[in-house]
Amino acid sequence: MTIQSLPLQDVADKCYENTKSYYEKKISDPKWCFELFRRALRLGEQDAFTHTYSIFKPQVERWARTYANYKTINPETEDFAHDALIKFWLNLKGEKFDKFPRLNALLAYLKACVFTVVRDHDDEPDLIIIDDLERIIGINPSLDKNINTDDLLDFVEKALNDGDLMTQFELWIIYDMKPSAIIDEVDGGDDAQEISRMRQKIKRHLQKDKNLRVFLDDRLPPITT
Amino acid sequence: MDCITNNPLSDEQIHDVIMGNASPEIIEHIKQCEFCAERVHEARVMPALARLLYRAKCPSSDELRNYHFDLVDPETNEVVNKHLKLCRFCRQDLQEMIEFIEAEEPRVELPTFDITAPNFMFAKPASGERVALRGGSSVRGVDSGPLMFEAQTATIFLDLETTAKGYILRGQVMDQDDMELWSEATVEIWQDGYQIDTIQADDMGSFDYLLEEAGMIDIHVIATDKTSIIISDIEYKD
Repeated sequence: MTIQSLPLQDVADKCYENTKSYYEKKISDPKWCFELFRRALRLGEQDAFTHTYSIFKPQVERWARTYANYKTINPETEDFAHDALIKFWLNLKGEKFDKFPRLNALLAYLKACVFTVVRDHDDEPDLIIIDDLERIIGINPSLDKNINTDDLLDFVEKALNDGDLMTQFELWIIYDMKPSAIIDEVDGGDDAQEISRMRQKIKRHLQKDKNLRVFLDDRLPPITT
Repeated sequence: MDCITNNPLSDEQIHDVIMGNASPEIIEHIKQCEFCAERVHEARVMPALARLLYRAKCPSSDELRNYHFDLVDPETNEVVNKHLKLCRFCRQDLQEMIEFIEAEEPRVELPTFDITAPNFMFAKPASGERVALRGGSSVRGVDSGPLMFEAQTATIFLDLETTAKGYILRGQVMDQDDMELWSEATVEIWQDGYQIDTIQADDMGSFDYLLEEAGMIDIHVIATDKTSIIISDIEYKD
């Protein structure tokens, strides 16, 4: 009898036993859990997924707790393990499962799902950078919802009306690249003097552009309050 | 144009205005003086753009993860690849994800094997066979009728209407054991492993969603008690 034709309960029991052995640093065989995942993801069997959920949810919860800022992101209100397992299933169901021929690759992907789910609740990395800018222009993140960045980029593009200046604008403002980084990392990057000249030009164009001014004045808090 | 007082604000005073630390006299001056108001505007344009366009071109964390695991199409792969060469924020995110994945696992005792059913279910076509949802128009009289899916005691109806704007997906979730369960449920629309939108069902568990082009989606319906149903691989076309 092949492993594929064994009853689900037998496969699930073996998967659990081998997972337990792995954590007890004993010899373990990954083929059982791999087969359980194959039935859950490749074949879309609800009962197989119930077993993988039961066996791996505690592990997924532990992974979430190892995230650096875990305690600061209000974990009581979110079920990160649940969200990660949903993401995992929706991304690897069907043929995409075939890209993961081994259990350790599947678990690495599951762990990456945990990382992205928790990370998406963690504003800390962004706030470090945004705080300074917010202090300068007095806006808060809720304001972002009223601003479509594609529209804003359109205004900038029209104001600059020059492909090279737009490229330089993106490197400077969106990618936050210093001239030295542009020279080192961008193919065909200009020299420092040229970059500085272009940045002055960009600044002049954008500061004087009436349409951009109206766009920003409508969305930023008034200066005189 | 010059300052109305012939004594324009200093750079330091302009900085105070932007930081919200200016005195009432200076604020009053800006209200009166176009020249100084213009200088304040000029001083905040670039920081405002930097703030508002912060990470405007970055892929989502899901895209970055799928890029790393070679799950994106070749076109997205090239876009993310080029982006990473320029974007130190994404390079750092990717590095942190890799470190998280590769971190040594604490060897801990596994809890006793206890099968706890996940609080989500896969919906299966009621007919047993998976067919595409075909758009029709009641005006043309070619509506193919709704598809029905089942997940334990819940039944999900999906229908598609073709309009000038695209396809309107109409859905309803009902549960014979608990009619209230799916009232005002959250409905997530997923495509290719990415959540593309979230809508809310009405008090009858019904929802509408506009889809612009033919394709395939997954729907994840989450009841107020967090029970959820996944209806996967819903193909829709004319």
